[in-house]
Amino acid sequence: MNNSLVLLLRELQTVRDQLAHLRLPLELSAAQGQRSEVAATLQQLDDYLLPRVGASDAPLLAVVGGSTGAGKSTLVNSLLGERVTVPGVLRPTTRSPVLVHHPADAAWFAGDRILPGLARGGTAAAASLELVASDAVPRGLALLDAPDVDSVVVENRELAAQLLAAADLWLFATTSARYADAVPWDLLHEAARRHTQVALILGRVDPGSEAVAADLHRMLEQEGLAEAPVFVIAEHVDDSGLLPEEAVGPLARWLTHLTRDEGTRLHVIEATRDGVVDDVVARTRRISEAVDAQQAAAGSLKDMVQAAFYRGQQQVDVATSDGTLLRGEVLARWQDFVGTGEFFRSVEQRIGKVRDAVTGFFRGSARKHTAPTQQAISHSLEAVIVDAIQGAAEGSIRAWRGDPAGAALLQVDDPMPTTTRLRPLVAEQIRNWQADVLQLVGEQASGRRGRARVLSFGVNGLGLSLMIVVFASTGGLTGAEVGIAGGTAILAQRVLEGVFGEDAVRRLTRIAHSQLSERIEKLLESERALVLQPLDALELPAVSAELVAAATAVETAARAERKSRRNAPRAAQPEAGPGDSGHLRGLATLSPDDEPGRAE
Amino acid sequence: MSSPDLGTRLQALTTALEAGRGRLADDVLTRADDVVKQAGARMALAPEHTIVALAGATGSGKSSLLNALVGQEVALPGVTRPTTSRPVAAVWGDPERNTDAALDWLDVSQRHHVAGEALNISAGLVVLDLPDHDSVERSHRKIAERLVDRVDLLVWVLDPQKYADHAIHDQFLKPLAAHAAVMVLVLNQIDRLSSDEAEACKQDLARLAADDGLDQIRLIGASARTGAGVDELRTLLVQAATKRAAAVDRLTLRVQDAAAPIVAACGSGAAQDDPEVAKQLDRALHDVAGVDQVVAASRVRTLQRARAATGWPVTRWLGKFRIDPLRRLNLHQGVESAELVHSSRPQPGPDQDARVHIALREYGRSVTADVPAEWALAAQDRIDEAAPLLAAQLDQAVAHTDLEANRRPTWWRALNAWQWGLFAVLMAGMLWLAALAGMSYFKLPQPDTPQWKSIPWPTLLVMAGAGLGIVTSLAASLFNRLSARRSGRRIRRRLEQSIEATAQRLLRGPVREELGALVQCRDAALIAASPIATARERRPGKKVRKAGNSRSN
Repeated sequence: MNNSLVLLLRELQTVRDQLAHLRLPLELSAAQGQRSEVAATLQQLDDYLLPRVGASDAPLLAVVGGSTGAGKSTLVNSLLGERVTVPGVLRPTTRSPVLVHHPADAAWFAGDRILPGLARGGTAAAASLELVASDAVPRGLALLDAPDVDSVVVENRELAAQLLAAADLWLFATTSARYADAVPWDLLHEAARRHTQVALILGRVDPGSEAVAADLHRMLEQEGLAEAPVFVIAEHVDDSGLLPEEAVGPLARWLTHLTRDEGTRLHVIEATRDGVVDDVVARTRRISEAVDAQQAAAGSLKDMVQAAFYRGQQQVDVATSDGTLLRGEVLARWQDFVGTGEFFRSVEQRIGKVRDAVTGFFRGSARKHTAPTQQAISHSLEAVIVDAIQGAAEGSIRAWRGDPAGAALLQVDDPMPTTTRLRPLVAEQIRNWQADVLQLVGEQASGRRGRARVLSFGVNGLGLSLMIVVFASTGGLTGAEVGIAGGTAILAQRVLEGVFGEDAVRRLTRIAHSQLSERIEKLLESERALVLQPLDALELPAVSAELVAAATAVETAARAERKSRRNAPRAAQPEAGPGDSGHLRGLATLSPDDEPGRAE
Repeated sequence: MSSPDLGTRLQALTTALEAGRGRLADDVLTRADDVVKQAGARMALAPEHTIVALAGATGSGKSSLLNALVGQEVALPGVTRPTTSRPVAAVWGDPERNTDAALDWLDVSQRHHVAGEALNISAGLVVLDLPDHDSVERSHRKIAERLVDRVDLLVWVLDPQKYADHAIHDQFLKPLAAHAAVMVLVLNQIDRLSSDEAEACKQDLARLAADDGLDQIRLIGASARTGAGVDELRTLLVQAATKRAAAVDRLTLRVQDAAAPIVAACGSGAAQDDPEVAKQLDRALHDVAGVDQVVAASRVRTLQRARAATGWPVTRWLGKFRIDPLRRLNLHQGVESAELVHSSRPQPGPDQDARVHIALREYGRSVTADVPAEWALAAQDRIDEAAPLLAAQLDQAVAHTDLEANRRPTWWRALNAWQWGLFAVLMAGMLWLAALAGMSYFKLPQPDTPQWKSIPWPTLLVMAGAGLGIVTSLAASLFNRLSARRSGRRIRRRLEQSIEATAQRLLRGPVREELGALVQCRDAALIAASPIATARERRPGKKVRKAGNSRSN
């Protein structure tokens, strides 16, 4: 084996390894097809291309494929002159494919060099390959009787496609009733595209339907398979269940010629192999596009969730800083705390008096008085955060539902966070934040300057005031807000400023607010991770660049290999060669110069 | 249970489609729409005719079989494939009867009229030779599929080579398994096999058909070349034409087919009403509407007004300086002017909004828990539509509620009169005493002051007027409190009722409407898809005939 082939083999192995680990888990509209393309490429690499590149001198594998009832088994039997496979009236026939080879070639097929997925011998396994050694087959040729390509049994259809993909040469059997069927022509179209070497056998031609052969030639030309030889076989089967010798003569001669002449044999093998190499390169590139599509889809799904949670974060940020949170319950409790609601209304005019009143309360058993307000803050804040999280999750779910891949992920489980689960989580964070604020005020108070005054107001009351100030910290209050919520905050601010001074209050507010934001952010973060969990659990394919590079490497290696083949003319004839071993039935029936395809 | 006739089924299918439009998948809708449309056309065009199609793969001998059935060359069989590219019709029966419209509808232009006497039938029979479905000519398949859908009886023509093809079993026979009653399998070209082989082949075909779900299907071995089995097929077709039930039978099957996916898509669940969730939603709505706030304010207002109406006239004026809390909420004018009023309660804060959102979400999810996703989404959409309107609508609901802002119980008036009477007595005593004091100041002779048990009357009047006034006021204040509390309870009930009505109108109603459409869709689809009475239950052809006639009349 020459160097360029070794290189090609190595590059193909790289592609194979990458494809083997490739998953396309997102249910994009094209994903189903792309996954089967990956599987098919992988299978063709394993079944055919890697073994073929690894051993150019392995026997030429001719797969006899075709429709149900096209007489594939009869054809193989007739060529061998013995019944190795059982044809039948009942369809589908040929359940376990039979590979016939020369006894000396057994070593090539016994192991799992080619078609490693198929068990050898007549095992009862679902997919198995039966090996038959026959002296009739020339050395260097193997005939494989494949199942029907249009069988009603899906396993047969798949197996047929797999076997055809592993062939050096297709012997495609059809009949005068069948030759215009859509299914085989789809396969032939594929073969033409890949430059797989094909020969057609048109069987069961009734007398009077000779026009069929011409029509078949016309169709082949249309598909770009004009080169493919056509063997026409009259339909009659003799008593032994075999076609008459004369009928299979041209085909037998053609096959024998193919194996005896090393140049022709190599030409067939290499033409098919080159076609498959090109096809693998093209497929790998297509697959790399599929990988890109998966990446992009995953990215956009992630973005949808990110955007929804970002909106949630904004919603909370606004609600906790524009003072509106102070409107309802919090306001009522704060008013209870500071004095009666009636009294409080005139607070702005008489701030001094209020401060006296406040001071009175602070001095008293402050803890008992601050608790209801703190609780009101907790409740309000909790509702706002729970709503924001649920709203974000809901937004994510809606966005995903509009996307096929997202919708498939939602099938796995419902990521909507329940109120019962969220409430305690959120409440805990708020409690912790309130503790933070009290600590903050306490630390500030331990500075010398404020100490005495803090003692007179109480840490709890000051902490509460700081919380109130935080909720109105953007100061963007307008009109009515100033009257109600703003009034609330201004009072608290005055008290704090009186104790700590203006700068300190500004700093404390900033710290307390960022502490709150941080906690909320963390909550949203972990909830977002939960929503994204089904997406993250997928094994998304890595970047496509490696695949593209591998494909290009194969392409380069293939080009080099082809060039070296052109430059180095073939050694005249191999030492011993396949020799004259094997003798297909019908070989001696007609003059040797009888041209294939023009028979009948 | 009697099986509904075709008319009923079609009507039910139409109902289901209307109820499910926008919720059912597009392909399901399109298919059912087609069936409804085609059923109408088929019954209008040639209700008395039976239209049979010979369908099958290329080369199976459909054209030859048609020729054998007719007894003359109608269709042109050929050796190169595919042959028949446009369907050919052979029409038996009274030429008076117009089949052209039906054939136009089927888009079959090649028509051959055959004398009906040859078959000895009075009813109309049309046999179509379809193009193949499996050749490289994809257009053939399109034509074949369209006609396979529209005809009444399907004769699948198979041959020994192709009878096990994936194309026919998986793409035609399996999906049409439910239509076995209007289908026949013909294994053509049995002349190519020995009789043993033919028998084995037929059995194998029967086995494959059973795998497709067609275990009861009629199977005929035939040969267009030798004429074997052709008579049997012809007899079968003539029987079907004479019975004139095939059209209705096929349409019924197609309606069933169209309705089955609708039934499946509707699931089996209905609206769920969890009282706990409903209560939570109510609480959140009350919170946003400010029920507690309004009730408290109106209690204070009632008390103030009661005091003003029944308090001691001497100190009553002090109440005027108190602020009317209802006025502060702009709700003091009563129901009459509610149209123009927006309460000036503070706007709901983000926390209240959040609570409503949470409750609405919970409500939406729990009410649609058992409902298929499309319907649940539709219901959720209705809730989402209502959500931003809630605050304003609840405000209106509160404004429209009688808060007893101007209510004056009669006992207030009585008590008021009594208070003023006592005040008059007090004033009388005071004036009398003042007169006496004045006279004594000006040293005028003291008139004889009458006495009651040694207490002078003026003093008695003052003491009684003031004392009884104070006592009455105290008692009245007790009563007022009680009555204010009662009025508060009444107002709360009223508020809750009008909020409930708003919720009903904005939320529960629309959701119920959506989920009601689901039930309607499912029920109707169930009627359309209900199993057909078996031949034994059915008077031969009678019931279905009636359906056909009622539509054609």
